[in-house]
Amino acid sequence: MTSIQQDPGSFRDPLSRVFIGDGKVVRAFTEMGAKDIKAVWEKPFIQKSLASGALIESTIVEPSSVGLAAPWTMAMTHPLVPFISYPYEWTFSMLKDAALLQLDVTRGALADGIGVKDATPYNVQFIGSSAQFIDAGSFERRRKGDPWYGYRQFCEMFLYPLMMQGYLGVGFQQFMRGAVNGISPDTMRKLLPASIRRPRKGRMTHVVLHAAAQNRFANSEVNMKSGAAKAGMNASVLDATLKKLTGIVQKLSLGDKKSTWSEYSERGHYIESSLDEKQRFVRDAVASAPRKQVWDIGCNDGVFSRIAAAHADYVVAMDADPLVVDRLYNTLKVEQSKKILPLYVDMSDSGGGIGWRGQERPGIFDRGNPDMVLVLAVIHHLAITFHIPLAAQLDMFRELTPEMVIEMPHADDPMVQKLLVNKRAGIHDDFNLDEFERLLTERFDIKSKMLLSSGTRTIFHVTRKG
Amino acid sequence: MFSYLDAGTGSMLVSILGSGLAGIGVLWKMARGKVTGKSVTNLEDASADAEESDSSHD
Repeated sequence: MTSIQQDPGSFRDPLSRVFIGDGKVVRAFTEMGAKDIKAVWEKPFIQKSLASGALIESTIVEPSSVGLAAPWTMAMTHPLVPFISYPYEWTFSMLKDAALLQLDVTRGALADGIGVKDATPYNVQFIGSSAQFIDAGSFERRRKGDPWYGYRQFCEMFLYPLMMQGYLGVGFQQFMRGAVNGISPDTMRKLLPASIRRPRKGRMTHVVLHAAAQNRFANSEVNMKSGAAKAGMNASVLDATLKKLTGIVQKLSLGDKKSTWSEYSERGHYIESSLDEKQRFVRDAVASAPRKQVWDIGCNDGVFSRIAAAHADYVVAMDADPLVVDRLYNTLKVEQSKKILPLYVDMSDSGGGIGWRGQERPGIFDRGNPDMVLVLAVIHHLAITFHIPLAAQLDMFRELTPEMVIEMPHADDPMVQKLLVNKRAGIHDDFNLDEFERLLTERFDIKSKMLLSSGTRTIFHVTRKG
Repeated sequence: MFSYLDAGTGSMLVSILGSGLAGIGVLWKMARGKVTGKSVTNLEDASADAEESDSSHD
């Protein structure tokens, strides 16, 4: 069995690596890493977390049984996560739930004498709306006097992004996508001045003093760990820190609750029969073959994602409005949905990888192979608002998927007219049904199409040519 | 057996402070050098003891 490949995003912990292939994930450990993990693996916290599903299913195997040799002396297998997502694609509530899971895991481990090596949101994945801790290699035996090694990372990658949204009303996603290591204490201190009038619990200690202490000790060679241990620093002190941080994170809430689309649905412009027939059309298209993974681009409140989920193994529901997606996530969470993964994705600005060589966190198109994509009420926004030509959009969809349901609003559609109102006359004259259908049929075969009752939109079910 | 991350001196101090009263006590002792007999800025020589292979957690 030699078909597994090393995950390009797995290299930061020198003691373990992740490999992917043969329908599973393999985590391999060096001799030192194996020693860490063996010392804690049978402890009640780990076993309880495995049983509850908070920690990803993990089976210890011989490295040779999965095609690995030296330096790997131990390995474990995990099931594949249906779709890998990253914190800059999550909404506020998703990052908050991931933060609380990280804190919960760290506290539970600490109580059982286990140290958690880091505190990054990349330790967490969402299976539908359920957060799961996936980095089974994070655990090690905690030694007397050990600090919480992940504290700074927790601040930079969980706490500050959440504060940014909760205290400033500024979306964290662009920052997280722009910096794979998160937001530094110094940057956060500058972003979060004392003059802000919103609640700002945790600012003084975790932002202001943190930034000051980092600057003060930037060139220090002091062995602070030793001094702290001798001064009585112990697990209960760390637990108190974790507990207080949990309280801060729990109290953080989404600031602005309105956005362009969160209070508005294009469906509001449809006459009732149009919506019914559109749902029927989508249902028939999705149900016409077994589907492993469907992407719903421009999912809004998820009505079509739910239709797709009834006929597919997994649905990735994407929208360019994080507040709309946050609302969908919270609804799916209440329903305990594990089949629909809601993500904040702006198709006009997606696709590139980030981190080391741009490969550490691959772009969204490199993380999934949808066998069907729904593109409903989307292309006019991309074409008119973001000036992405229809041909370029269809080229992208052709590369992405063998089958698609796509909705084309005509030039006289009220939403198209609204988007055009302040545009120079004539510059979007090529945005019309005839031109769209010409471009579409160059790339796809039309299986069926329907003019919606509104009379201003046509919906197509197409398969890729060739 | 340590995390691959550097806890960072400044971050470590603040993480202790973040625990509240218990942490302030620890920081006070560190600052006063009551345990090591040395100030917080001169603790290098006191490192070895805490690196012992104590298998129990505290």
